[in-house]
Amino acid sequence: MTALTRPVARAGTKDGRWRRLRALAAVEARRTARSTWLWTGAAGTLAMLSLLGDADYQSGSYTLATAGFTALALGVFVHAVHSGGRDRAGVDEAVAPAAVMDGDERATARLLGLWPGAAIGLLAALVLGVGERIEGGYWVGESLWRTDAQVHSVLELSQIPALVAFAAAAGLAAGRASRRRGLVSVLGAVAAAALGFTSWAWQWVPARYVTLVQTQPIELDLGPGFALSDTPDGWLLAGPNEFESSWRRVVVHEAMAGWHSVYLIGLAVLLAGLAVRGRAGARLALAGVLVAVTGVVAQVLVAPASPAV
Amino acid sequence: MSTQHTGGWHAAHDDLLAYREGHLHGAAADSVEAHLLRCADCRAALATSVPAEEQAARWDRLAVAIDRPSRWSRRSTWLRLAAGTPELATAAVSLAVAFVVVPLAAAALDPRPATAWFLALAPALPVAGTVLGYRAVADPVGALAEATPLHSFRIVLMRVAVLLGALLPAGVVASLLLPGSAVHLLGWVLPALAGSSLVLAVGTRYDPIWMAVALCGAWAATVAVGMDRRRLAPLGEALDGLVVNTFAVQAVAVAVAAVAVLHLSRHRDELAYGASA
Amino acid sequence: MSAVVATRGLTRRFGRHVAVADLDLRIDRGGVVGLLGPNGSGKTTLLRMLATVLSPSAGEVEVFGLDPTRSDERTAIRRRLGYLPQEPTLYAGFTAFDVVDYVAVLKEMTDRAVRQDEVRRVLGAVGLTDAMHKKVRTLSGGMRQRVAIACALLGTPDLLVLDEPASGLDPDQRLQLRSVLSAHGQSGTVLLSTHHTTEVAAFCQRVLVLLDGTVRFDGTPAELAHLAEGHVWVDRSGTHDPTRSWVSADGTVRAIGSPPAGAELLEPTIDDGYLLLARGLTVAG
Repeated sequence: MTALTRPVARAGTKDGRWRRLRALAAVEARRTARSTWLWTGAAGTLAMLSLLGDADYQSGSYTLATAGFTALALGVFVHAVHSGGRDRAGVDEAVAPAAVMDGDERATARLLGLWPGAAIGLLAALVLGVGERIEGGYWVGESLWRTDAQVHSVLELSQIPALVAFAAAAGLAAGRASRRRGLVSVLGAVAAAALGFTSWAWQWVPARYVTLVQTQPIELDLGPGFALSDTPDGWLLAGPNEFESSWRRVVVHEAMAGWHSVYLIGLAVLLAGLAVRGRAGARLALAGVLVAVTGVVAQVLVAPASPAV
Repeated sequence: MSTQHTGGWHAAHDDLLAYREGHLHGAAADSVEAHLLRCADCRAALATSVPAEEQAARWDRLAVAIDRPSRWSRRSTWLRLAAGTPELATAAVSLAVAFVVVPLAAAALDPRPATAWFLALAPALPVAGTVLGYRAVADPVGALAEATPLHSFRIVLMRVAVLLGALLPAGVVASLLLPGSAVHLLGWVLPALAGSSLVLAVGTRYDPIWMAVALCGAWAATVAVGMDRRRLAPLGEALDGLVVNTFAVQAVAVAVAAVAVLHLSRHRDELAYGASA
Repeated sequence: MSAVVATRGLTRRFGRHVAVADLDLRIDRGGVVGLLGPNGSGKTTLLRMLATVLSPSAGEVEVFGLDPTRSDERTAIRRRLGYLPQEPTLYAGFTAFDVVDYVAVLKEMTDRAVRQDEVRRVLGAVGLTDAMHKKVRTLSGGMRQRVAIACALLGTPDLLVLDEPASGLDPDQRLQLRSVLSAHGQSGTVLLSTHHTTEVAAFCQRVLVLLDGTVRFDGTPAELAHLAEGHVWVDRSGTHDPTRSWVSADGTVRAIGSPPAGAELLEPTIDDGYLLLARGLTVAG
């Protein structure tokens, strides 16, 4: 051994494993931080947020502020697809199957290396939370004697980093599983468009628990036998319009939003388990399924049954 | 009156000089004078002659004019150390101007969010100025200065003082000009000083940029908490009751600043002599 | 007579990496000392510690008999010290004169006339009198290096610590630098680091070889060359596997390593000694 070489941790040894993972994760994290996909997605989110002023229908800007982060999530997804597919490089078999780090270890390191994307999601949620409070909140409805502006609570804001984490895990799993990165990216974009950008289409009762982007506030139908004078002063109402024929009560349900984020985290863990494979992957996938199911069940339980919630 | 004096005697050069200086008297002076009236050559010689000390002085001035150091080097020593590079001076001036112009322009468009944003973002400028004082942009020679006797925290302090001296008054002017009660809008000044002194203290050992970002973020979050959510609420009511204007927050700012200054006074020698690689 | 530089067990760590390990060194007044070593051997770290720019992790260092960890003594050391860092950065908008003048201000030269005379003197010593008032951004790399060297020479310091002073200089400028530094070595002390063994061979009275943070050789350049005595030969076989070999100027193959029996030995140079030391094939004397 000369001054020019240093022993490398041998394959299969446990003590070297964490150092190897950290080293590859550091390389991947630098790639993530400089990824064009990620920053294009962030720019898309900024563009959508800047158009909030045009959403002058009731609760429009409030809803779009969170739905706009779909662009960032899509950017992270596409980057993760490329990251997960890095071992393929156009060849049928995986690259270097007998290397010190096998394919599963490399996937774990790549998963860890996606942390800058999640960090950006978290930071974005914080900035949005602080910014909207300084701005004075969103307009959610006209009223004379009660608050007519609303800001997102912490539980609602938690959907943003949860969505980004889900997108990262989904991208990595898809990239590792499929050879066609382009196709997978396009499918992801289609899903984002269908579930994210048109999230208002998925707010009917069973769908809103399991959709990816859940928007608040929710509307509770007041039914036909309804008299304006009977409603308590604190309620915020939405009148009949071209889409709805009855009066509705507009409510922000924080607990449901919180459990929806738990559902998203469960999905993220499940997909992370599918990306990593192996024994650890199976355990992760099982844990993910449990958490996701808990999230859905809890949403169903806490969701308001009647307008008088 | 003058006639050409051809050939023959010319006045001695020393006599001409002495005559010009006024050291010749009596008959000698008359003689030179009479000669000068007639001799164009000697008149020309007198016109172009220069006394010795003045000759030396003129050479010196010529040398200085050729060897002129640039405008920057001719400034006083204190100013050169404090202002560092021209970029720093430009940064101080332009940030100060922006500090006043941008909030006022925004307030002209929409006063309610503009004043709220001003209060939330105002300490960021002095804190950013303090970070700049540690950065390469502030120092013209970088590593070359490290082993010199004057290289010390005092120079950084001078630069930061210049920047804060430009930014803080500008911010106060902006606060007074914005719509809304001045008492409310000046609530950022003490926290800005606290943030700057924290950044100064940390910067003697580590790169203070992340602490600066965290401090500004924490301040913006503190402003956001308790902000009246009513978008259409009157400005005075919106600013009233802000957490940041309570005595507790201001007292905490003063305490933090005091701790930072105390730490600085004991550890100021650590600047660039310590952990840096 | 007290030493100009004395260290005992000097160590410097960056995280887990040990840059300088338990180094004992003594440099007496006068002369030029060369520090040889590959990149990453700890030369820059050692020089920074001796120039009072970096603090040691462990061990003691004394410059002029003073302790640089105490701030008043550190300032006293810096008044008698001139330092050239490895990659000096100069503000591009200043002229060469401005830069050196600024550093002169930092060296406590308060009187303007005296200071500017000194600035002109050092700029003349490095051969930049004509380019004095050109902006740094118009100067070539070699000229910028000379500006930095001029800053180190300000005030005729008793100890000059130079980190790769010859980098970026062409041969003519190197010769001029040599004459300036050896003249300085007559009255003061010069400690310089370099990659190039020719610099060391040319005018250093003492050479230290630094590898992995420790001093592996301390002696004269001739002694360093002598280490390779008996390990340099003419390779006529064409089948051997020496440590290093190349076709020399006269067409024969010059090989360094373990010679076969009966080989024609050649006179070793300082390069050969350094190479064998770096490869660990000889024990330092």
